[in-house]
Amino acid sequence: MNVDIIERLAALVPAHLTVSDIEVYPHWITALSKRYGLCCFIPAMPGIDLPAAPADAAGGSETWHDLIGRTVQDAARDCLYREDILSRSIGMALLNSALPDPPAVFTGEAQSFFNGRVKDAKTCCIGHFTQAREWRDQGFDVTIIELNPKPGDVPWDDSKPFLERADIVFITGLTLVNGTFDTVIERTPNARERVLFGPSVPFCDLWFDYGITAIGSTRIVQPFEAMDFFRNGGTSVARAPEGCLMKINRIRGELCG
Amino acid sequence: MPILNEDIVNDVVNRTAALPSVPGVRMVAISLGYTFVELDNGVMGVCFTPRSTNGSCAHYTRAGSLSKKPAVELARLMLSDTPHEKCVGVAAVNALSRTLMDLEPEAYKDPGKDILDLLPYDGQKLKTGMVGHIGPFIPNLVKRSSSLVIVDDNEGILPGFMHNGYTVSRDVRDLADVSILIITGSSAAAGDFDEVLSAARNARFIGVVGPSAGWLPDAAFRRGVHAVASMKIIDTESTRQAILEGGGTPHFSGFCQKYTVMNPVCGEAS
Repeated sequence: MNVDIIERLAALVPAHLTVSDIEVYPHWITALSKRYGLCCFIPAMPGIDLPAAPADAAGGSETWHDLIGRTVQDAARDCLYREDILSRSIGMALLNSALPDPPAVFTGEAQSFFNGRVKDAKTCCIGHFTQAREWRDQGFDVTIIELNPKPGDVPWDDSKPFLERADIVFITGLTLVNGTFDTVIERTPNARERVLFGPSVPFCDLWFDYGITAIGSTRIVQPFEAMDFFRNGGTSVARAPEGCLMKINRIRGELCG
Repeated sequence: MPILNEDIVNDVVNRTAALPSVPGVRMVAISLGYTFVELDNGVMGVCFTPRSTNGSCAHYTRAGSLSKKPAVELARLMLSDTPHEKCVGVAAVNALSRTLMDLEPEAYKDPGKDILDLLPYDGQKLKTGMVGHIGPFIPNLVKRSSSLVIVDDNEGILPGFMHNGYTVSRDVRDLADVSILIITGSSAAAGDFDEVLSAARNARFIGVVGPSAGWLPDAAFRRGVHAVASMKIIDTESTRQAILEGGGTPHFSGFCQKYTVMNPVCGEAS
């Protein structure tokens, strides 16, 4: 994320909120302030020149105890400016623990709201998620762009022409962690819909100022069950115990895609 | 003979079955640096968490259910092929082992010496091997050894001769002529311990060390290991917090008491 976005996100966090807890798992980060905030942690991203963790981590590990008690604004800013995936992911979880809820939030799978629209549009999906694969398998004009491409996907380095012609673009929140978000926006000048989604996305209206038209994130609603899931090696949100996580969405005006 | 891990699990499961009451599981957490299993008798066992190489959200079917399982069932996961699951198994074995060892303090008496002070160099410069990179041990071993070879498959540590006096290798066969061998608890848990012992056929002293080596030492002693040195967690709450926050050994060792158990059959290392 660029400096402008980081500063504006931090400014949205109520100044009095402080960090109560940070938990770091192989696949997830949770942070507690006003509520539990979440961010996915993917340490290995092919083609992304960022270390998984801070270089000065003692004994290969880093404790984040020093963040406890600091203001969320300050701690999140500190983490988001760092040059490693783990620190940035912690910064995102901190934001999600504290950002005020925007009005008119609706629940459900962000992509599912576009089921009807992808039929008549050129769609690019940054990240190989299930719905994208299903659309592609149904014969729709869907291009899956991946840092770690599976058969049929387009590698990120070859994605420029596909992104330029896209009407609808689905962008995972991981682009905010790995620093490719600005590039995706630049490469999609013709997109009518840009959907920023995933459990890592800081949930707020700020993204509408940067060309995003719909946002989707994930909220922890039953902390006890959710934390047990993460602590026990939980990975995909879809497999979490029923009811403990909730997908939330917000759109800018009318969908036009 | 079963492999070491099978032997350890059998020891722990059989001896736990003889307890008048088996402690339940309070919490299981696979954190970034370490995994722990906390029992409802207040005892905690830990195991180093291997670095995840998984770049996606591949599903782990037992996520969310581990804390609801009996401790003995978790202990059997030490034999799993899934790295994170194996960690939970080792941590559970360590928690149950600590419970069992506390009931028989005389059988697992600590000589009160650091394992580095037990190494039988006797003023000689001997070839030394280490399986798993233990940074704090290296200066001491380099100073006392004629050579030090460290076998480690961590991609972050490149093989070859290091400027500070030791060699990193990926091949356990490089341990063939070492006289003194130190194996990290995490290597013993995750790697092929029996292959390491077989490779180090000339070792006159073999020690297993680290927080992950909190298991009952009897099975290792039957294989000729001379000493097992680990940590007894004294302040469970602080250790839990340090691990959940992503910390490793440097962050929780202050809440633990180091101990060493010597093999009664080997007696003085020869």
